[in-house]
Amino acid sequence: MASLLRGRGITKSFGGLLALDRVDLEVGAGEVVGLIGQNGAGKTTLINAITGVHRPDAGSITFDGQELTRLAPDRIARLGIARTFQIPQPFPTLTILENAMVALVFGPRASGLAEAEARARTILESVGLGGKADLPPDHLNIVELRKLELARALASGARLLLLDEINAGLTAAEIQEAIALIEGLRRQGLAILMVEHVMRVILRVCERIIVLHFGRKIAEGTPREIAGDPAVITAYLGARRAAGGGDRAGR
Amino acid sequence: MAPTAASRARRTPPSLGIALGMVAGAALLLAVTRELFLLQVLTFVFIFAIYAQSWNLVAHSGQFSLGHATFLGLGGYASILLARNLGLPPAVSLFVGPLLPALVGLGIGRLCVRLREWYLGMVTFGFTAITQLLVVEQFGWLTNRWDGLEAPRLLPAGLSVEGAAVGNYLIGLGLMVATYLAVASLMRSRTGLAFATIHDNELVAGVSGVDVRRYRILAMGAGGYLAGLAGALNGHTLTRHISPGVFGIEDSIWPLLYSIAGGLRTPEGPILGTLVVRLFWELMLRRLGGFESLITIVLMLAVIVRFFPQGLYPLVLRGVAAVGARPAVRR
Ligand SMILES: Nc1ncnc2c1ncn2[C@@H]1O[C@H](COP(=O)(O)OP(=O)(O)OP(=O)(O)O)[C@@H](O)[C@H]1O
Ligand SMILES: [Mg+2]
Repeated sequence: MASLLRGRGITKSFGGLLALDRVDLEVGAGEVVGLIGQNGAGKTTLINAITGVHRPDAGSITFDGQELTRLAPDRIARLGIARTFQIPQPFPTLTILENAMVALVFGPRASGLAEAEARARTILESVGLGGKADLPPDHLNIVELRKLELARALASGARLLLLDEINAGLTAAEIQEAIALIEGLRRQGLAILMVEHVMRVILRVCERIIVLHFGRKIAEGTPREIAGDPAVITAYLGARRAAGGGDRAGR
Repeated sequence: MAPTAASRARRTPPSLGIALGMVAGAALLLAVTRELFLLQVLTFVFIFAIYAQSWNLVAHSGQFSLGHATFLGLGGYASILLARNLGLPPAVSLFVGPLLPALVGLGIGRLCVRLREWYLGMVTFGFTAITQLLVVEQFGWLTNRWDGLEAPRLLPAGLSVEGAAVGNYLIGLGLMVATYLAVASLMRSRTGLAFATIHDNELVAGVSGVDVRRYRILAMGAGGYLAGLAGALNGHTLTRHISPGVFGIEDSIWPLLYSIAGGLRTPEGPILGTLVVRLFWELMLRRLGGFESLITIVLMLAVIVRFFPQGLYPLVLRGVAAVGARPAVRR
């Protein structure tokens, strides 16, 4: 598969702490890739590096052949990369509808306001927030806020979505919906890199999984390979089982 | 909580209706009275409502300016110098002069593009002091240093005192309403949406594709122009003179008070706030003496912020809605 996103030797440290240590990654067009690892493994930092929020200290990241590491976040977004935030960050003084419109208007689609409004309403309906479109986001609970994050990312019209734990705290039924939603996106040809602690989702929807451990990529493979990898079991799955893990509820 | 004032500003359409209402109210007053002092106070309100509108527009883009007097003063100086030294009619220099503070605004916006809140406030404050120094020292040969310059009048010579007062009143009103309509439509546009996202969260605005740098600089440039327009208008009509005192701290603080009192981040707020605060000040407090007046104003502001954190404008909207005159008001 032609690779859409390609990272080589991505390295980022905060003070003395090496948050990303020479990480390589590929996401092909239309591919769904999982990113797992313990707390503090560097998953969010990797998303920040790709989206221009943090500039890597070393390494290269290309999207569709174009180097991203020297671009500002808005340029990267307009190339067709959208993300969600692990801690939802809505625009508090905009309505929920306007929150969803922003990426339509300023992202790769560059829609006009009227068109953006119509599309944003449709997208809010599709994630189940249609009834609250004209309220400010302080009317939403944490699960709904994550849906708004997702709606914003979807609205952009990006070719690559970076999803940072959007399914934390979902009930079993909601997890089924989330899986259906992601499979729908895959069918539309979107590439997705998703950070996820809910293993059921990861194992179900991802074609490939990357495991980070203290900033290093320690394994990569199909869900089956990862589930049987001894290094992963010790570093991640085992640790989680030992800690009484499994599908971790919301944090 | 109802949708915020800022969000309402982007959605309630009838700014034309409000503009007509302002014109009708002002015309009605003129039909009833020609009391000179009142006309002058209201002319001042119109001019400084433009100034407050400028500050509020910059605030709408999330930028906190404590140096707006820079723009006010430069607009005044530029227009007056263009009229005096190059012989431009004041009716032209009034609109050309503010291009100088607009450029300075773009420059300051560019320099301060990574600063926020109090840091931005302190740096913009510093620029006012630097500008004053430049105007007095480096350009003293042009600006007549501390003595300042006489300003050519905007109105033709030979008008009666009353005629001039009415003329200034109407010009101030016209430009205030024009500015209001321009800012209201800007806030509802794509650019206004960009400003609002930057105000709320620069990081998320950026990853959503908003060119944060560009819009922040643009807001400062637009703010520089409008504040400069107010400064030029003030010079050619009310004060008819300009001196380096214009770069004082008070003139940077007033627009903040007006905007907060009326309602931040709405195009109506600065107008209402300037009117209320200024009428209160001129008609009642003037007689108290400066210090007591200042204390009273600050107390008044504290009360407004405490009980009406979105300013007085939502209160007016509620009043209007209650009377039922405008069923279109969405809340
Ligand atoms: N802006 C920052 N400044 C300093 N340290 C940071 C910053 N961002 C992340 N770190 C550190 O980098 C390491 C990786 O953090 P990161 O947030 O990427 O982990 P994560 O894999 O997303 O973890 P979690 O599952 O808890 O979300 C952590 O030790 C974290 O404390
Ligand atoms: Mg994280």
